[in-house]
Amino acid sequence: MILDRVSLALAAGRSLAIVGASGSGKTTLLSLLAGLDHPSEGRIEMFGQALTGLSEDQRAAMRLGRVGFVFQSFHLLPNYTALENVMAPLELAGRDDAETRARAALQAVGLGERLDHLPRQLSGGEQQRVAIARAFAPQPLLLFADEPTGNLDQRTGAKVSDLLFELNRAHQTALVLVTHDPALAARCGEVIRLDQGRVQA
Amino acid sequence: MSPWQSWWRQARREIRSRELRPVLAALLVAVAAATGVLAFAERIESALSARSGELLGADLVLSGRSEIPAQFTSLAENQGLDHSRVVAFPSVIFAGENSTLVEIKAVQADYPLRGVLRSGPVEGPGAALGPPAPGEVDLEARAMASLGVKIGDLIDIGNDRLRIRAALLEDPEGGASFVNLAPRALLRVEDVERLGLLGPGSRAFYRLLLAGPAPALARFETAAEPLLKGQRLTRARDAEQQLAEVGRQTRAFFGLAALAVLWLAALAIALCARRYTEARREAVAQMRCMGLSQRRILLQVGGALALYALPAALLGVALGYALQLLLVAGLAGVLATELPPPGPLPAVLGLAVGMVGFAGFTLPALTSLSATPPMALLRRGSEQMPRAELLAYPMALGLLCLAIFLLTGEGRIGLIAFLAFTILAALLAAVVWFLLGRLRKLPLSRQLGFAWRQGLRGLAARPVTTLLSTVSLGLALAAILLLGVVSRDLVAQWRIGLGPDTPNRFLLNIQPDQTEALSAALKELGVANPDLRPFAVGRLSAINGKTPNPDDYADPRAARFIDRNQNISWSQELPAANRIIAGQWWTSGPEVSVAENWAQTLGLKLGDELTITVGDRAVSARITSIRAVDWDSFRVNFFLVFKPETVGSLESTSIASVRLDPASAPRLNELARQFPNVSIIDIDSILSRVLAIVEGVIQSLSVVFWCALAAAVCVLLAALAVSAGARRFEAALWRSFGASRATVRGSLLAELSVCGALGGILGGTAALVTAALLAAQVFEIDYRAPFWLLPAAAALGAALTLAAGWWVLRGVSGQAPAEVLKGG
Repeated sequence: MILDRVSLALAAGRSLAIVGASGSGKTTLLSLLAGLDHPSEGRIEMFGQALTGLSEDQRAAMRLGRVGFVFQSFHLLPNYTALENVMAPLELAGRDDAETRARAALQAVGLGERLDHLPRQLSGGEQQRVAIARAFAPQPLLLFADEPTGNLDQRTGAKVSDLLFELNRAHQTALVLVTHDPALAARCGEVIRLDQGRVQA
Repeated sequence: MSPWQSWWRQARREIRSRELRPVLAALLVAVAAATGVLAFAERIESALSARSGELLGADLVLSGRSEIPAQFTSLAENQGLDHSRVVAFPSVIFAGENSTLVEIKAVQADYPLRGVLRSGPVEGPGAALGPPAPGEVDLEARAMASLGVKIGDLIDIGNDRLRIRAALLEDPEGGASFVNLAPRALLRVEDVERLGLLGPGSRAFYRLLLAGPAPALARFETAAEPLLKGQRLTRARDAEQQLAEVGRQTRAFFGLAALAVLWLAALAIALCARRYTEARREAVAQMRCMGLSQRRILLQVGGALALYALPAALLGVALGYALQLLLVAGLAGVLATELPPPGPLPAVLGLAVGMVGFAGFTLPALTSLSATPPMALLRRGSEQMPRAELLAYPMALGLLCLAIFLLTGEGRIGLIAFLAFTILAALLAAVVWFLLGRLRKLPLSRQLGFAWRQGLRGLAARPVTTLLSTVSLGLALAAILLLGVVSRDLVAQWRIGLGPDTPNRFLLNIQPDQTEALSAALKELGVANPDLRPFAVGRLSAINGKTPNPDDYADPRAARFIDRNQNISWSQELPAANRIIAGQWWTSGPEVSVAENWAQTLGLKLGDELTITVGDRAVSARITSIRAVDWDSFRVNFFLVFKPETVGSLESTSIASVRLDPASAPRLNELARQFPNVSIIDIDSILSRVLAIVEGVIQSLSVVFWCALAAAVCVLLAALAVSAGARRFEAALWRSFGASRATVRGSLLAELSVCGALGGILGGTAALVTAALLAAQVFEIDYRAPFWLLPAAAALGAALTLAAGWWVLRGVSGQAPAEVLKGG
């Protein structure tokens, strides 16, 4: 058993940090909350609807256009330009204004001049800013971030987390954050600490 | 653990690895194609060498286009040599309403002087019965079948009949016509005159067979050489060499075709080897950390791969032996002889080609792998090419050359062909690269739907995969389409384009006193203006007063024009299908008009003086015009046409080309009986026979090119397998954004089908462009390109790519989205 008796709830526009040592089950909890995986038992609701019992495709449809992700290793599509990367979830959601929105989102993270760059032509911090633009562009209700600053140096990390919270406030997006970084966790409204799959008081 | 144990253990682990599947498939195809082609070539070669020993039916042959002068016979007698006369010429024979063209071979009772002549019942081995007696004939079974006769029946020939004694089963000179056009009829030289088959100056091949001890033969040669006038001396040894050359060319020709397979298979193997080593770099760095030497690692990993590859190669050998049956089947109707079964050598060579090629194409990647520094564990991505890998490339090139040599028996030409193939591939790659660049910048309409837009973008986003897949598919499909569809289409259009007036019968050996009667008889058959042309046989004895020497000309055809007899004609008017391109038709003085290509080969210009010796008369004339000749017209055309006054009266016969209504063709039999010495040649049936031979070669070659397509699919598999990891990750990412399995699958299918279709169109276009060039340059016809080829090729390419994708990318679209949170 990876997670045991974990219970939490997050209201719209609020932020939650999940902290804990390596192997404590943080990432597993994140993937369950996002519906990327399904629990062997227990109940998860997203936007007031139960994820339990839904097929993978049905869970994917729940995420479509409403959930954003920011990953530790950025996970940009390597052969797509910054603009194309940001457009990807918008196009998937069938938005007509994908390109305009993507441009605006990149502008907002300060990359308005680097639209046609490929990920490998961008620094780590820039890549993560593209990823943040990609996550916020569809104006999701919920955003999951897995160690968003984990692969960045301290200064760049601080800038990226500023950006994350700024957008969180501006868009009223609920934010679930997995992190090792106590400073980052402290900026969240709520913090839960996991230890060997259980919530610590 | 001993090195052997760890080797074995490594090999067992590799069996499970998915990325090696395309390597196995590529190796299998390459070995199968190599073994098949080599076995096929070996069978041809051994069939040829089985015949070459007794090829001539003699030790030495003196041959010519006119009766061999008696002085040579007495010369042979002086030296104590055995001699025997042979005359060969085409003629039509009849049985009731049926007729067929045969190659008549008239011999003396002592034929052959060397080798075996076998005849007997149609089925069975037959026996050395010797030539038939006068009044009898031995016929090849083919001729008996088309006449509907059996042994003991009578056939009409010339102005009499001959009884069929037996079926002609094996003739020493048969080897000379390894691929034969007309069936042979063997009869006695004594009958030729009695039947009125040849008149004076008739066109026939005359031979004097000679046999005896070597010193006597040498003395004969020395004495005969100065006396030769248009005759040629052929030693048994020369004939053997000629046959060996045919065998060698067969191997080189089909071997070069099989190089396409090797090239594509090599690409697949190199691609997979690189991917394989990238995946193992960390493990090897760890082994190095633990203190294993480079050599040991190279042996262990390479050895494991070899052990893994060997069964595939062996399976390829077995497949190759099945393949050569298909190769032979293509030519079955064309070869005049049974082919002996293949020996074990092709298996050994095919295996060697495969394993040597395999070693060559995995070596660079393996060397680089084994040279991975232990530091690679700490510092990832320090991609400096190790020195050992640089050394591996020349070695790989050496191994490649060896593989090419083993396959084609040709070092230099093989390598050139391999490079040519590479250049062609680079050309196609440039086209694809350009298209992909365009595609990247293309604003994709929203009407296309997500899957198509994403698929098209994926095509441009993975340019290497797209490039490799489309180019290899394109190359293989181009070869197949060019050979299988376009070439047949070209020939068919050319044949249709010949027009309704194209002559379909040649009448040879018309005597001067027969021309009027024959013209009248032809008129009765509905031929209004038979194109009758007188001609004589002579030799080019001087150009501007000097004896020409073949060694002075770069073009090898010059030797043919100088050493061999030339047919000359004369005419007051410019013959049809001829056009003056320089000078003027008949002005004054002794004049001759020369065909363009003949003049070019011999470097002749207007005003040069040519001397032609006909018999003991020399005819000299100035070149006053040069003609372009439409050889496609199927009219009788000549390189050399003289003004009639220039030649005066020469011993000559006439040749006529006529267009005969198929309905009146049976009545030609009466004509043939009326003029027994005239040979009537059915051009349609000869053309059909020639086209059947071309078709046979096309069919055999097609087998090789289908193997090339299989190898192209291996490249496809390899390229897709290389991209599989990235695709899996991307699929997980898309699914995390909320894409359904169907959406991800849809964009993958769109990408693969467009990629395959692009390869197909590329191949189809290459085939059509080649066809258009051939049509314009070689066939000189207005080609109606079969454009349906493009959608068909696109569909085939798409189907192949989708099938390959299904094999190596299965499960990619179902990738669990949670994977995105792992690794990276």
